[in-house]
Amino acid sequence: MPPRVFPGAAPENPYSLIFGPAVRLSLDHAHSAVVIVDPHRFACDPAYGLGTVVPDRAAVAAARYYERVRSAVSNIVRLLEACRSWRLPLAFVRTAAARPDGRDLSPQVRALGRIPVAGGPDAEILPELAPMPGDLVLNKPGSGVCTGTGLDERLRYMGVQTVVLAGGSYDGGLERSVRSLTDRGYGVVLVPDACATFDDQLQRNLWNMESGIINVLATADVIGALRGPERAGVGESAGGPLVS
Amino acid sequence: MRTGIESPFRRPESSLAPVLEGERAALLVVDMQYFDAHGEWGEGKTARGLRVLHAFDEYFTQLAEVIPRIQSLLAVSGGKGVEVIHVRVAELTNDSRDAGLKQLVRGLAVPKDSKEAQLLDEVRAIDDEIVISKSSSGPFATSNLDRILRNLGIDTLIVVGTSTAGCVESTASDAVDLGYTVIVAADACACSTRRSHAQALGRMAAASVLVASTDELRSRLDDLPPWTDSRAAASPGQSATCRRGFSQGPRRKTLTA
Repeated sequence: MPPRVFPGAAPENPYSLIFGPAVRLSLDHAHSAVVIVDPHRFACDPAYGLGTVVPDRAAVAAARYYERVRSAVSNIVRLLEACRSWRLPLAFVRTAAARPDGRDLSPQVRALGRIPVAGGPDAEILPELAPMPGDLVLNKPGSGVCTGTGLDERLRYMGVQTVVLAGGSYDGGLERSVRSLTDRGYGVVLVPDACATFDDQLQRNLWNMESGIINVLATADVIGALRGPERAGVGESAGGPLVS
Repeated sequence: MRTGIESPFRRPESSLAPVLEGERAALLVVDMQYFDAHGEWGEGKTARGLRVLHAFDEYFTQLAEVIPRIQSLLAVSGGKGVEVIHVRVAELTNDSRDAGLKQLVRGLAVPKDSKEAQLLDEVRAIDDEIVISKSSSGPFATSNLDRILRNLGIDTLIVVGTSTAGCVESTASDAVDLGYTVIVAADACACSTRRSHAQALGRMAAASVLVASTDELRSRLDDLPPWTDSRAAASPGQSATCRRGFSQGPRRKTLTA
């Protein structure tokens, strides 16, 4: 299992001295859901979308991002398989426009220089992660999963209190999603080895985000928690909070 | 401003590219209140009680540097038509029954009439300035700030306050997704440590937030023409500092027949 706290990755966080450890979130099919961020070719396949507009100076950084994506995808496959077997609702939330000119996207996404259009090749979810009947597939206009998607309402209708979060983060969308989900009162189980970010430091920081109603767990631990005899009490305090 | 975190998918933003128009901009002052920005109250008091206040030395040192810079931006905003909006952590009740879960689990209740809910004297709200109460890190999930900004015709936000990696970053992140042009005045924000401050600025810069210095912003604001509300000026008893007051700003349609 990867270490939860990388030496030197996080500054000593004084808030950890005055706040208690993170709440231990539990997972069950009635109150939990899995949300996968940007699992589409636009964000995850170097031959499509963002991969086609990387400037030369960023080629190395982009290649490292796609390596992380490959590694994350294999863990997302395991995660989805386990969560499907426990009947957790699954939601795929991807950046995608309805209009080919992208006018219905946020200005910042539009500025990326490539428009993923729903129904087009960029918006297609990677075949190994392909949604199944009953899964939610939502299009987001911005970076985080809450703004402009209706995800919050869907989760509430389903009675979901805890979200297992993983996926790609080509623009900080995962971190933004952690913030916006917890601001809305959802517990978040973040699965860093099923996440891919564009920067080494950001990738390490994912392991240090446990605090408050955020738990940080490796894929194997989430699966273990689902399979465990009690299926409650996943997560334990580690690292300092990023969100203070 | 270089921050060490760069996205291969974003063009680097080097300057305040957008045109800054006073009446389309708001200065958001985040969480500059007794709860989290004063050594004698709220979190500071808790830290003192647990004898760990020394761990916050770096934070309070930054805060002391930040306050005059926020004051400097506050001083110039009104005269340029920039809407000043104070955002604070506070419940709408005194028994905190409306607190958000994220706040509650850490014991972060801030009753509406508590000392902790009050803005610091140095940067308190004056005249008719708007104060938004939230029970979350970013204000957009638990307040009507987005709607109010649209009512005001504002599309550009200047964000200052505390903490850089906490509520400032949450505010800026959500605002970008909501379509605002977001400028963070880096040296008018404070964080638990200088290192986490720098990391947060890096994350924001890589996610389409413009990071500037107070001096840069001041000179941009100083260059703007003075903002005058003709109706407020014409109306006896209304001061020019009552910027939009009850009258309509120039970018608003007049509703009177």
